[in-house]
Order: sequence, then C-alpha cells, then structure tokens
Amino acid sequence: MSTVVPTVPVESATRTDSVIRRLLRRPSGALSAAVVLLLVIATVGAPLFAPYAPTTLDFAHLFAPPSRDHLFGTDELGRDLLTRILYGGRTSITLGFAATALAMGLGILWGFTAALREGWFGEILMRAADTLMAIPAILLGLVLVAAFGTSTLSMVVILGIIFTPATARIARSSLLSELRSDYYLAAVSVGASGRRIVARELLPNALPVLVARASLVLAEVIFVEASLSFIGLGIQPPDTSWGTLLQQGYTNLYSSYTYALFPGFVILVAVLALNVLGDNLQKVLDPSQS
Amino acid sequence: MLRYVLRRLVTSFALLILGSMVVFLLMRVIPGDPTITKLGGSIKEVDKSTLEGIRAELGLDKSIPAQYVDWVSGILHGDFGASYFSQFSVTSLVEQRYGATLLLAFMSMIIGILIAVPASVAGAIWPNRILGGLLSGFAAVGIAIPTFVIGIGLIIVLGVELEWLPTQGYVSFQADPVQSVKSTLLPAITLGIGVAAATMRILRPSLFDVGSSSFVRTAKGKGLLRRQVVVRHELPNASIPAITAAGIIVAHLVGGAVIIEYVFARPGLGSLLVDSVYQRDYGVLQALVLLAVAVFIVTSLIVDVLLGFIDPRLRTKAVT
Amino acid sequence: MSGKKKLLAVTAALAVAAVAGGSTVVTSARSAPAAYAISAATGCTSSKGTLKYGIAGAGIAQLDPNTLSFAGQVPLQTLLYNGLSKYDRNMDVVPDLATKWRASKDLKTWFFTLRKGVKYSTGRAFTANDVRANILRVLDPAVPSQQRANAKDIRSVRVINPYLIRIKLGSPSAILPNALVDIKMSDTNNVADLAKSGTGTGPYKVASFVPNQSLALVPNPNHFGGRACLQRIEFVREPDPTAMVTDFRAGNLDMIWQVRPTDVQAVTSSKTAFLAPKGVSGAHVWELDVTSEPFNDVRARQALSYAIDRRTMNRAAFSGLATPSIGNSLISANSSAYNKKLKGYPFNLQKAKQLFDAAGVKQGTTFTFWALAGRRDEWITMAQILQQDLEKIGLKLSIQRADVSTWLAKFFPAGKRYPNTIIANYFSMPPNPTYALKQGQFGSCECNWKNTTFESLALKAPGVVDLPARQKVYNTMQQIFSSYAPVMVIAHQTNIVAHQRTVQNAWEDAQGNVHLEEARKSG
Repeated sequence: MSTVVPTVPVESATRTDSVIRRLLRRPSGALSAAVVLLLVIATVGAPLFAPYAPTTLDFAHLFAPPSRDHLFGTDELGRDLLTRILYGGRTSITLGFAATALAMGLGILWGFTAALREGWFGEILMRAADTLMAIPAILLGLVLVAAFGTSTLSMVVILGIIFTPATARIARSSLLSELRSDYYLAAVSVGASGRRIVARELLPNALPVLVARASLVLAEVIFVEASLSFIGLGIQPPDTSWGTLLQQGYTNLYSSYTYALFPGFVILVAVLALNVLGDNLQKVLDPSQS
Repeated sequence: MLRYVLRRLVTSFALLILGSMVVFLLMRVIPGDPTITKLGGSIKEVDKSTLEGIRAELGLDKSIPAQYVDWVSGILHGDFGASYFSQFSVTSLVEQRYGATLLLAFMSMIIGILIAVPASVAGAIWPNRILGGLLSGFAAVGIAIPTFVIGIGLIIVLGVELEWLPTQGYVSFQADPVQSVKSTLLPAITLGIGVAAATMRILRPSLFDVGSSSFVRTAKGKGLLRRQVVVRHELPNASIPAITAAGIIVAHLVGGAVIIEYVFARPGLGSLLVDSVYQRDYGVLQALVLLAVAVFIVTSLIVDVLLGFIDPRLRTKAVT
Repeated sequence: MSGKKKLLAVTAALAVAAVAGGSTVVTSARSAPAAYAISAATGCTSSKGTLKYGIAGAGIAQLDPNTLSFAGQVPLQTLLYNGLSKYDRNMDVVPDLATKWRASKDLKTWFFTLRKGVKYSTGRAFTANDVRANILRVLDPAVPSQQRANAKDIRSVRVINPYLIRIKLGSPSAILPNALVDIKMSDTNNVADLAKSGTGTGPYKVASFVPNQSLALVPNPNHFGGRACLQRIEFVREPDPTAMVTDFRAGNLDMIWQVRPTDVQAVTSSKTAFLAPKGVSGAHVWELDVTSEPFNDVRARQALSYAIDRRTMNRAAFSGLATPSIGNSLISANSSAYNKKLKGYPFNLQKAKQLFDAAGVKQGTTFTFWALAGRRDEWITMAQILQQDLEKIGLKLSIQRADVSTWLAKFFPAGKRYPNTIIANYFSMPPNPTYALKQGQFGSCECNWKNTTFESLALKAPGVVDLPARQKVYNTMQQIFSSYAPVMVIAHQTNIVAHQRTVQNAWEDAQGNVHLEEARKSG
C-alpha cells in the first residue's frame, strides 16, 4: 500500500473530454459518430419507434411493396419490414457489442499474459493465436456453429471466439510497447508488484488503442454475422438480425425486389460508419497513428 | 540472416502441425458423421451395425489420436487421403480445382493493384480535399461492403440485366484461355474491390508519411517535379508497409475466395472446403486446411524474410 | 394417379397367368416388342446440342446408382444405367435389360430373361452374372443401399445361363419387377471406382466429373438402344435457388430442378415450360420421436397435428401449389389410393390445447424445430406459422437450422432419441402406394413408431392381387397411421421442373424423377 508509484499522465476525465472534442472536430469523425449513435438509438429503442409488432403475421399482405402503410414493404409472412429491420438491428448491435466485449476481454487476457510471460509459455500462446488466425474465419464459423448451434447466445460465443486471436495479438503488441516505456521501468525499479502495475498503469495506458480497435472489431462482427446468416447459419426466427433479413430478402428476390435492398443498405451503412469511426478514434487516441 | 530464416522455419513448421491438430480435433468433436451424410438421409433399412462396419472400414472407430497418427503417417508416405464420397484422392480433387482458385486470386490481385496503386499515387500527386475524400470513401466502402453483396449486385447488373459478362461457366485456362478469363472477371472484380480497398488503406498513409520525410524534402529541394518525387522516391519506400500488407491481403483473398466461389458456383478450392465441412468429408477437409495454413505460413514467412532483407532492423522485431 | 394404373396392369397380367396354370408367363401389360420399340425411340440419327441442367444447394457427390447420396443425382439412374425393368411414361413397369419375366404360381419364384448384345460403356459384355452381383450387392448389409428396403425379401439369386436368372422370394410378391426398377446394373467388376467412373449400360457415359460441382455426360457409343440425341448433358451446381432462377432466366440453363413454388412466376415466360408429372413426388413431413417425451403420448402428437394450420402453410410457403394433408396420410389427398374417410386434423387450436393438457404438456414448454440451413427456406416459413399458433396456447417453438451433417446426426439412423423435437424432413414418395406407406414402418421411419397391425399389413400388401382388397389394406393402414400420427404430414408436393422450350422429350415420372434419356434440343 505504501509503495510509491510514479504518477503517469492518465487523468481520465479530462482526457475523455478532449478525445470526444477532437473526434468531433474531424468531419468524418463527427458524421460517423452521429450515424452510429442514430442507429443505436433507433434499434435499441425499436419498441418505441417501430410502427408494428415484429411478429404479427398478415397473410393478406405477403411481399407488399413499399407503401404509406409499410414504408419498406412486407416480408414473406406479411410482417412490416421497417419494424423487422429495427428489431433485427437490435439483435445485430447487441450481439455485436456482446461478442466484441467477449473478444476484447479474452484477447486482452490472452495477449497480456503472452506479453508478460516471455519465454516458452508466451511463445506457445502466440503460436496458438497465429494458428487460429491462419484458419479461414468462415471455416471456423461453420465448425463452431455445428458445435454450439444458432441461438443468440451461441452466436455471441462463436463470434467472440473467432475474433479473440486477432485481438490477442494487438493487445500483446500494445502492451509490449508500454513495457518499453520509461514509466514502466520506473515502476519496476521502485518494486511495485506486477499485478498492480498491470491494473493501475499498463491497462489504462494501452486501453485507448484497444478501444479504437474495438469499434473495428464490432464492424467485422456484424460483417461475419451477416456472412454466416447468408448461408443460413445465423440468428433464427422469431428473432432476426440484419444478416438474416438480408438472406431472406435474397432468397425471395423474385417475390420482392425491395426486400433484400433495405437490410443490405443498413448493413453497409452500419459497417461503414463503424469503420470510419474506428479509424478516427485510432487517430485521435494514438498520436503515432496520424 | 540465416539464423533468422532458420528460426522462422522452425516456428512455422510447429505452427503447421498445431494447426492440423486443431482442425483434426475440431472436426471430430462436432456432431455429424460422413458415413451418415453419404447416405443422404433418405436411406431406410440401414441399421447401426452397417454404419459401424463402414466406420471401421474408414478407420473412424479408432481413437482420435490414433486416427491422427494414421493420417500423418499417410502423408509421410505421400498419401493425403481420399474423399469418403467420390473415392477421388485428395490430390486429384485439388488438381481438378486449384486452377480456378489460383486464376481468381491472381486476377483479383491484379485488379486490386490496378485500382489501388494509381489511385493512391494520384491522391499523393494532387493532394486536394475532394479527390482525397473520394478515395477515402472508396476505401471505406470497399472494406465495409460484404463481398457477397457486391457479388450478387454485379451478377444481377452486369451479368443478367446488361449481359456484359458471363455469371458462370468456368473452364480451365488450358482448355480455353479467353473464356476462362472472361468467366473469372466478375468474381475477380468482386474480390478485387476488397483487395484494392485494403491496399489503399495501407499505401495512402505511408505515401503521406514518406512524403514528409527528410529525403523527400531534399528531393523536392533539388527541384524535382511533384510527380517525379512521388513515383521515384515515395512509392518505393512506401512499399515496405505494402509488402507487410501483402500477407493480410493473401489472408483476405483466401477467406474471401471461399464465399465468392460459393456465390459464383466456381469449382475452386474454397467451395471444396465448404462442401467438405458440410459433408464431414474429413479426409478432404484435413488436407485442405493443411494447405490453407501452409499458404498462410509461407506467405508470412516470405514477407518477413523479404522485409528482413530490406530493413535489417526488422529482423529482431519480426518474430512475434 | 399412376398407382391405380400399375395395379390394373399387374392384375391383368396375373389374370392371364391364373388361367394358364403352373409356371406362368407374367410379362407386364406391355409385351416385349413394345419395349424394343421404346428403346428404339431413344435413337437419333445424330447427337446434337448441349443440355445444361441446374441443381441448387448441393452438388452430385458420387455416381454409385445403388447407394444414392442426393436426390439431385436421380436423372443419372436412367442416363448412365439400366435396370432389369423400368417405368414408362404411364408408370407401367416395362422390360429394360430383361426382355421378359415370368413368375411361379405362388409368386415366390421369378425368372428374368436378359436382353442380348448389351455392353457396358467400357465395352465389356453385360450378362446374368452382373445381375446377380448387383442384386447381391444391394442385399449386402455392409453396403448402405436405399434399394434394399423394397428388395430385402429376395432369398436367392441364381444364374441359370448367361441370359436367364432366377430370383426366389421369402413371401409372395406380384410387384417384384417394380422393386427391380431401382436396382441399377452398374459395373460391379470395378466397385472401387464406381463412385467416380459411373460405368453402366445407359445411353450416356461420363465425360468429366468434378464432385459436388459439375458433371458432363456424352453419348455412350456402346449403348444397345441406338445413338443418344444430345451431344452433351451438363449438370451444373447452383449455389442456391435464387441463383438458379437467375441463371435460368438469363438463358444459361436449359432445365432447372426443384423450382420453389414461390419462384414459379419468375420462371414463367413464352420461352419456358414446365414438366407436368402425373403424380406426387413427395411430402413435407415433420417427424417426431414416439419413444421420447412428450410425443410418446399419442395425445401430444394428435394435439400437434391439430395445431398445424396446413392450409395457411400451403398458401404462404408453397404459393398454394401443394396439397395440404389434413388427413395426415402418407398418401396424397389427390391420389386414387387416398382413404377418403379420414377425418384427420382440421386446424383447431382449442382441441390442440385440450389434448396437450391431457398429455401433460405443461404451459411454457419449448419444442425444438430442427431444419436445414441454406436449403428449404419454406420449412422456416411453415415453422414460423406454427410458432405463432403455439404461442396462442402457451407453448414455445425454438427454430434451429443446421448444416446437413449436423441436421442428420440429430435423428438418423432410426432408433435415435430426440425428445421435445420436431424434425422437418421431406419424404420422397414412390409411385406405388405400397412403397409409399412403407415409410411409416418401424426401422424405416426415424419416428421409431411400431404398430403391429400396420407392420403386418405392410408385409401383406405386396401379395394382395385383387384391387379392391388391396385398397382396403391401404385404407386401414392410412387409418392407423392417421390416428396414431407418428409423423406430421404437412403437404404433398409435385417436384417442379422448368425448362426452355427448346428442350423436348424430357419427362418427369410420378416420383418426381426427371428422365432425360430421350431428351433432345432444337434450335
């Protein structure tokens, strides 16, 4: 308790403020942040904004084209497509956040352990990460879906696992660069405990890079979820996701041309906004990147 | 240098073995059984003893480690196994299909570079906001849009509505080079857009970085034209990170090819991979994953060694 | 439908047989010369044109005709191979590699006379030894053959001379030639290569084969029936039904198999047509495990059957083009063999709830609906309708999709337990009602249902010659099946095959199998 640890420039509150201000000063940063925010509000608040109930079947209006009653038209069971997209986004975004959090958590644990335990143990950990990265993601996805099934929880676990190795590598390299820094060497020289240094100093300092990385992982998670759904192995009814809606729209391309259009567009916008936001965050948080 | 290459080789080999073990184990742990899938599910009157007989014949009744040893010793004798379904050897299945995949990978690489390099260079020569914004926009959209969405869009617009390019009908390059390239154009453009976007994201910032470095400023000071500076000095130096990126792009191609071959129904290795997962055709799948991991390792090995030659400082850092 | 016709054919022949007495000649209604005439019709003066045949969702994985992997490979059965007998366009059984057959009076010993001068595509002569080898291979328990179900009563196969073979049965059957249609005479000298070589006696032979992807056939110069009409037939795998429709509309495909009812409008044009089969190809069914909770209680099964809104499902999933099976019968309601007295299960949620309660199925119980991924999207449409209806009576349905291997592993082979689960499946329906009803038999159905009366009737049916008496057997079997409801039969459907008008002489049999052996292309 009484160990004196050299102070490090973290000052979290003021730092966050300036990050947001710097982000918003960049036009693409402000725009992408606004789009992401809008999507999150619209989908999380789906029950408030959606014009219809998400599961009401209407056999009198199968594949209705866009109209005043149904802005985006209806699907193969007469459900309102706008409503489905809002609720689907709810699943996609929640699932994306949960899987990203899982991948980041596991990846940081994995990468930090590898960085701190140099020698054969760390080496094995990194080799294992490389191996998993060498296996095509879609193959890993197919195999994991066969093992865990397609429930929303399984999808979180599957997508989390797929993105863990890549996160582990980034976590390791960012920690390694911190380990070379002066303050770390200073902390070690005064005899601070390893765990304490990690928790108090290294993690907060490595975090910005990891947060920026997280928004890119989120984009990729939504992307891969859409790919898995496209081959029929995604979220199942009555729940839906953007990927599942796109797949159903494509399946019914010749019953309704507009069905696939809207989910496809929303996925594009969401992934694009997240990518741009991630890039901007990276530039703002990590001066060496810009 | 030799020691560095040697160390890389040893770790790469370990990686290969580890990868093969992971997939071998994964495939056998998940539900599904090739003997059942082969029957197509419509079969009646097959009792458990018949299935067990077939499993024994295929060596699937042994423990997983024993099966692994069998497989590895087969490979050491040059036998990579055979499909449980078609009885074709894995080598002949790969022979049938590698051409389609290679041509696709090669053409999309070319298309990707043909878009990315001129665009990035143009961006560096004429540093104005509108062009920069357009290029950034293209790079961002190219990365963000799922490949199957581009693929389906291109099939419908260029293939079906305009009838400019064939959507299918692949023939091997040896049989008919023109038709072969033609039938590969649509999938290659689809994949090439992603490659171009990925390349541009790496190339453009490094062109910018190099542009502000001292030797370029010296070159400018000597009175060289902006264009000459970019092409003669900036581009070669910016290629170091681009070579690094090549590894990532190859990974992108391998992953992307799986879905693209599926969307365009191409007889390539990617679709063979997906089918062998679906059918639990272990023999084929194991060999293919070994191949994929090997390609990945060899590429990153080449990249690292190449960078080690260009910039000796990287030799110590590269082994991560 | 055809079942009736075939029965008439066999009974007519048997009537003749009965008069003659002793060992009798039972050719089918058509005589041998007629069979030669049919074969001669396959011949063309020259082979021209390429026919591209599209299959969606999966590819042809292997070519062995007696251990099929995939319904999409069925056209090969008559392109690459022949059987001793075959179906003609009226679904009458007519001679193929056999020129005639006769049965003993007790219908337990059969003699088949073989066609002379038949050669395999490799040039090797086809003889009675090949017949014996193929039949024994199908009967071999180590060979997973689908054909065994209908042939397992064969006790011995003996070669009398190179062109005469004798088959002895365990119990009388008047329809052995029907069962033999599907046992194809492949080249058993080379079984190890059969899956990739596809060597047979048919009008075409394999030119190139990329498993799961593409298969090209060219005329077999050694075929006994004359020259094939097409220069080339290509089986093209399409990634999914939408892509298949896209390519068909663009004119890249000449014929597409298993068109979804919802796509019928999209492929209809002045340049296209549909094969119009005279029967029902199969049934969309939901299988239940009658040995596990809660469907081991017949009331739970009946309750589920009442909860299925078959008419609405037909409208939403099949554009109204299927035949809903309110009677819950394996036989289609449009078939002449259908038991018209079946009351069945008209949609009634009240009744469903009462029966679920009686069976002790608690409120809030969740059933799993187990379906395929990437194929059969119509099953998911149907499941969502059930999901909504079950919710109204306090039950839940969890819809799950899996790749084909994972899907099969859950319920296959027969005997697997799968409590609380509804398996979506498709039963291909043999045109003969006897064989159609066999799908409810123990060991055949993955529902694990065993009803002694049903089993004994299933054994008896092939030996009943008199048509009304046989219909009575069918009626009873349907009645038992309907009231015990081991399988939810949702709707019967005809396999929809679309083609460009340039394709002629192709036809689809009552089982939904496409016959291209006589097809030709104009223009």
